[in-house]
Amino acid sequence: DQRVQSALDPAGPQAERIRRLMVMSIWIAAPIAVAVTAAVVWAALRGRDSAHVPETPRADRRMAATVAGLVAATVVVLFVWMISDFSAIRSLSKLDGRPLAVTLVGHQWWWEVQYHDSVASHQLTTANEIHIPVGRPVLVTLESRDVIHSFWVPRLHGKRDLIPGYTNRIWLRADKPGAFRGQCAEFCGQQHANMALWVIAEPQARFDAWYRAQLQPAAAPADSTRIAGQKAFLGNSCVMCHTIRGTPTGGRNGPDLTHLGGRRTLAAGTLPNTPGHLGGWVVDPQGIKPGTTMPPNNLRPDELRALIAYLEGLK
Amino acid sequence: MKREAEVPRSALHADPAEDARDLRRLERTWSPERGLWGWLTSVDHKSIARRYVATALVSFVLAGINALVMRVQLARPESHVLGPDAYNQYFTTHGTAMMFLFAVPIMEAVGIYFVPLMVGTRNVAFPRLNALGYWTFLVATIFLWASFYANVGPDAGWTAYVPLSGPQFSPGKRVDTWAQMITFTEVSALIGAVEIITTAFKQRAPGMSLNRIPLFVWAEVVTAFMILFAMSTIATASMMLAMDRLIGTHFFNPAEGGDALLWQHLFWFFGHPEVYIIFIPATGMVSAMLPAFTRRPVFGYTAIVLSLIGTGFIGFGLWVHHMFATAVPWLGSSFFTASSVMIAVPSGIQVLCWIATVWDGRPRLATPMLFILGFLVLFVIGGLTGVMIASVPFDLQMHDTFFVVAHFHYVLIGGAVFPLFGAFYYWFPKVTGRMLGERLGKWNFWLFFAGMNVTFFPMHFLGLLGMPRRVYTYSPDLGWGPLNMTATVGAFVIALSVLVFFANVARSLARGAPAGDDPWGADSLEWATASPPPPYNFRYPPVVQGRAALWSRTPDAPVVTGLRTDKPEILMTTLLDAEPESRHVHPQPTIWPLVTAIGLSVLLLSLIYTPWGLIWGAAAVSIGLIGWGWPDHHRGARLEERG
Amino acid sequence: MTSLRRFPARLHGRAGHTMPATRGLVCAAPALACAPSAAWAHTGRPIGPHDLWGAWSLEPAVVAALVASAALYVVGTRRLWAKAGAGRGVRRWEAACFAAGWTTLALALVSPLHALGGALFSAHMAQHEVLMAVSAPLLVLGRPVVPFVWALPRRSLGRVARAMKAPAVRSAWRALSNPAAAWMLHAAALWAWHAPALYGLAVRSEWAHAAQHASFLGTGLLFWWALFRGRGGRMGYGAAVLYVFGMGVQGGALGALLTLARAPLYAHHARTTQAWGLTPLEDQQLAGLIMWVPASISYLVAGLWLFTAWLREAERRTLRREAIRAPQPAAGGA
Repeated sequence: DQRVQSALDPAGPQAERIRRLMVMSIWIAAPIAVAVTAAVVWAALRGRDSAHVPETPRADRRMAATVAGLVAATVVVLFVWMISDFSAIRSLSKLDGRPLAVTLVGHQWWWEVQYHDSVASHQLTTANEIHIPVGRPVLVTLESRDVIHSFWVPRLHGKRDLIPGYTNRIWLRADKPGAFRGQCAEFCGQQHANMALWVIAEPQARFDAWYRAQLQPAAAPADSTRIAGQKAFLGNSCVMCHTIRGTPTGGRNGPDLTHLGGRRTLAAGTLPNTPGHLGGWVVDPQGIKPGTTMPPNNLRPDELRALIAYLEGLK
Repeated sequence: MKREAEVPRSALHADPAEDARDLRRLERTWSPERGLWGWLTSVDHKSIARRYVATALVSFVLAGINALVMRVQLARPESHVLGPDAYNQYFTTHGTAMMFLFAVPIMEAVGIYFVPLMVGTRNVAFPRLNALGYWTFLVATIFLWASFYANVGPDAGWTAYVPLSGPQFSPGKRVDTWAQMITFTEVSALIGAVEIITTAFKQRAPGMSLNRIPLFVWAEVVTAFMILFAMSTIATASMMLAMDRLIGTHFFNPAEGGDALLWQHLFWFFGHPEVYIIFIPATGMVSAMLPAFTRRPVFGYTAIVLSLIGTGFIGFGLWVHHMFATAVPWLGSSFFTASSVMIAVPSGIQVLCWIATVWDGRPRLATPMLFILGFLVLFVIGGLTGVMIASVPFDLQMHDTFFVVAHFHYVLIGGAVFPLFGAFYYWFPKVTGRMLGERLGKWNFWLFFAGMNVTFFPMHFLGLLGMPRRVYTYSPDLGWGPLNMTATVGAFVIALSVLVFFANVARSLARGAPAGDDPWGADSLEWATASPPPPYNFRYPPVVQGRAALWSRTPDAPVVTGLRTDKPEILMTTLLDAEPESRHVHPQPTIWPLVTAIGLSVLLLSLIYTPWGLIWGAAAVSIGLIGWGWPDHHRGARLEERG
Repeated sequence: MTSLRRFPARLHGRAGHTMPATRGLVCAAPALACAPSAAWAHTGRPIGPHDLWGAWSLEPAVVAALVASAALYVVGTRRLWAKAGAGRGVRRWEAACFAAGWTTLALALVSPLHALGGALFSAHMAQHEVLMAVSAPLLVLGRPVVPFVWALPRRSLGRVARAMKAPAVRSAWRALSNPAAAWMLHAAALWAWHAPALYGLAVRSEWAHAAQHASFLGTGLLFWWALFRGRGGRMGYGAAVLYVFGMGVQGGALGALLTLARAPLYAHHARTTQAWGLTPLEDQQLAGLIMWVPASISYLVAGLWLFTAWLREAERRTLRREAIRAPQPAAGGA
C-alpha cells in the first residue's frame, strides 16, 4: 500500500487539521510563485536589448508606490497566513476525552511500547507496534534510553522527539481502523532508516481482545519441534537481551518477544514477519541491518528451524 | 593601461620618463616575490581570494560527487550502492563541506577579492592575517576530505546532535574530526569578517560616504558582523562537545546532569544565521550585477540596505524553528511562527526592489542576468516553502523530511549558488582578463535551472508522502521509488551543467576573448582598473562622486595622488564620510602566516589524540607568532635597493 | 536659534553642546517618580479576572511624578514655542514622542496591568518591557531636557546649573552616559532583577519593587539617551545599531532561558496564576516569550531607525561638503 505513511492521507483529526493547513498554504503559495515568475519573465522581456539607455531612472516615484503597495500586500498575506496557523496550533495541542496512556521508549533502533494501567498486572510491554482503539484519544509519553529519536506517524499527527533526559507527550486519535506506518524522523545513527513502527487502530472490542491476549504469558510449546525451539532459545544468547513471558527470561536490551508471531514486521519494520525472513534475521542480522545490536547466531539447521517454528508460534 | 588616459594631466609627472619610472616603482613595491616562495608568502588580497575560491570549488565538486553517489543509492528502494555506515559519512561530509568549506568561505572570498576593489583601495586591512585565514581554511579542507576518503569521515550529520555525537554513541575519532574542522573554519571565517569590516569602514576611496557604499559591500559587511556574533556560539558549542569527548566533561550528557537540548540551542543560534551568512552576500552579488544588465541603478538602495540589516537582526531570533519537534512549549508556537514569518518581509522587499529594477531597466539577457532571473524564481519558491514550515503544525509534519531538504536546497542553491554562478560569469573577466563563453554559459544556466527543479521539486512530494531525510534506504512498499528516480536524474543534469561550467572556464583560460577593463559597462569601482587588476589595484585610487561610482564620474574627476610608490602605502579614510584621514604603510609578504597556520594545525589536530596537544601546539603556534612579530628592517632596505 | 539667546548653550539641539549633568538630572525625573511610591509592590491577594478592570493603581507618588513631568514638559514647550515659534527647539514629532512615551509609561504604571502583574509573571514582564523598550526610548526622543529647563523658574535654574557644573557630577555623567557603560548597566539591571531571589524580594517589599522599576526605567533612559543623544551624535549611530542589537540579543537570551526552563523559577507566582487559566510554568513561558519576541521587535525598529539616521547624516554631510568644494576642481585626497 503506497499511502501507509503519507501526510496527505490523514486518518485522525490532527493529521486532517494539518492537511487542511497544508492545502491552504499551497493554495496561497502557488499563485504567488506563479505571479512572481510571470513578473520576472515579463520584466526581463519587455524592454530587452533595447538600444535606448535611460539617462535617469524613470518614474521612480510611481514605482516606489507600487513596490510599497506590494510590500504591504505581502505583509497582509503573511498575516492572514499566520492567523490560520494560529488557529491550527490551538486545535492541535490537546484532545478531549479520557486518554489511553502509552509510553514509547526509543532505542537504537527499535521502539519499546508500554501500556499503563492502574492495575499492575494489566500493564503491558511490547515492541514496534502500538495497537489503539479507534476514536479514543491516546496520550503517548515519549522517552529515550540512548540518543534522540523522533516519533512520527504522518497519517495521525506530526512528529515529536524522544529526548534522553526529557519526557515529551503527544496526543493522537485514529478515526478509522487501519494500520499506519511511522518512522523515526530524527537521525539516530547507523540504522536510522530501519527504525519503523506501526500504529494499528481497531474497534474497541477488537482492541480489548488483543490487549487481553497480549497480557497472557506465552503459551507453552505443544509439539516437539517447538519444544526444541524453546530449548534453542533458552540455550543460546537470545536470552541475554530478550524476554518471553512465561519462560525464565528477563533480558531488556532487545524487544519483548512474548507475542512475536502476531506482529507485522521484524526488526522495527525492516522485514515482513515471515518464517523465511525470521530465519535470515536470526542467523545474519548484521547482513540485513548492519550495525544493529543483535549479534549473528550460529545455529544448526534443525535448531534454527525449530527456533523459527517456536517464535512464529508465539501469537 | 587604458584607464591611464583618464587620469587628469595634473596628477601625472611632467616628465613622461619620470612617470614611467614611478609606475615601475609602484609595481615593484606591490608585487609578490617570484616563484614558489612568492606564492607561499603572498599577502595580496587578490591572490589569496583566488586560492579561497579555488579551494572552495574543489570542496563544491567533491561534495557534489557525494551527493551524486547518495542520489544513486536512493534512486531505487533497497539498493546496495552504499551501506549505512558509508551513507552516513557521505551525507555528513556533503552537508559539512557544502556549508563550512564551500558556501561560507566562497562568499567571504568573493568579498575579500572585490571589497577592496569596490571601495577603491589597494589591499585588505590586515594582509598577513588574511593569509593566515586562508591557510587555516586550507588545512580544514584537506583534513575533512582526507578523513572522509580514509573512511573515518564524520557520520553524525552536519548538525552533530548530541548525544549521538557524544563519546558514548560515537566512539572513535570521526566526530572529533568534525569538531576540529569547525574550529579551523571558524578561525578563517572570523579573520575574513574582520578584514571585510575594517576594509569597508576605514579604507574607502574619498567621497564614498556611507550612503554610497555599493550594496555588495554592505551585504558583505552585514554578513561579517553576523559571523562575529554567530561564530562565537558555535565555537563555544564545539569546544564543549570536544571537551565532552576528550576530557570527560558532561555538558551534554543527560545521565550526568547535562542537557541534550543545549547543543541544539547553541548550534542553531549559530546555524540559522549561518543560512543568512550564505544568502546575504549572494543578494549583494545580485545587487552588484543588476545595474550592468538593466542599465539603471538598483531600485531602492536604502530599502535594500535596511532589509539586509533587518535580515541580519531577525536571523538571530529564529533558531527555535529548527526545534519545533523537541520540547518547545506549545504556548510559544504562535510567537515562533510569527517571528519566523517576519523574516519574509525584508527578503520580500529585496525581491520586489530587484524586480522593479529589471522592470524599469533595459534588461540584457547575458548569462549573469539569466542566473539572476533564475535566482529570483527559485528563491521565491524556497522562501514560500520556508513560510510554510515556519508554521508549527506544518513543520511538525514536514520537519526532517525531504520536504525540508527540498526547501533548503531551493534556498541555498537557488538563493545562493545561482547568484554565485552569475557572479562567476560577471567577474571572471575582471579576475582573469578573459570573458567566459556565452554559448556554454547559456547551456550552463539552462541545464542547472532544469536540473535543479527536476531534482528538488519532487522532493517536496517525497516529504508529503512521508519520506524522512538522512535515510540510506527505504522499502519499495512506500511508493517513493519513481520520485526518487526523477530526483536522481535531475542531480546528474546539475552535474552536467557544472561540467559545462568548468569546460567553459578551461576554454576561456586557453582562448577566451580579451575582456578589457569594463566589458559590461558596469557602475562600480572594480571596473575602473585593468583586468586583471595590477598588484596595486589602482595607480591613483579614485575619488567617488556618486553612488554609481563610474556612471556618476565627471570627466575631470579627481583622483588620489601623493601616495608613495616606494612603499606599500594605502589611504585611510573616515568611517562616516570617507574623508582622507591618514596614510598607512602596509606589511610586506611573509612566510609567517603559513608557519603559524601549521602551528595551529599541530595544536588542533594533536588535541584530538591527547590533551598534551595543547602544550605542543602552543609551542608550535608561538614559533609562528614570534617570527610574525619579529621586526623586519631588511625587506624595506631591499625595496630601497631595487627602487 | 537667535531667539533662544537666553540659554544658548543649553538649548542647542545637538548633543554634546548642552550642559550634560542638567540633562541627566532632568531626564531621570520620570525614573525618580518610581522611587518613593509606597504600597506599590504586588502585595495582598492576587487579582482575579472579575475585578481586573477596577484595579487602577492610583498611587499618589507615581501619579504626582507623572503629572509633574507632563506639566513641566507642557509648560516648558509652550514657553519655548511662544518665544521661538511652534516646532522650534523641540520639534513637533519630538513632542509627540514624549506624549507617546508618557502615555505608555502612565498606562504601564497605573492601568490594571500593574495590578495584574501581582498575579501573572507574564503581565509583570509586559509592564517591564513597556518601561524599558517602549517608554524609555520614546521619552528620550522627546528631548525632555529642553522644555524642562524652560519650565524652571530662572532663579532655581541658576542654582541647579551651578550644582550640576561641579566636576564630580560632570565626570560621573560622562562615565555613565558612555554607551558601553549604559549598556552594561541596563543589561545588569535586567539580569539582576530576574534572579529568583531578587525577584522574590521585589514582590515582597514595596521599596525593592519601586527600586526594581526605577532601575529598569532609569537605566533604560540612560541607555537610550546614550544612543540617541550620545557624545558622537548622529555619527555615533552606527555603533548604536550594534548596541541595540546586542541589547536585543541578550534580552532574547534571558527570554529564551525563561521560555525553555523546565520548572517554574519564581516561587511568588506558584499559586497566583491558576485564576487566569495558566499554570505557573506556562505563565513563565509566556513571560519569557514577551521578553524574547515583542521586545526584540522594538529593538529591531530602533536599530533600523538609528541606521537610517546614520545614512542620512552621511548623505547630508557629503552633499554639503561637495557643494562647498564644487568651485574648486581637482581637490585630491592625501
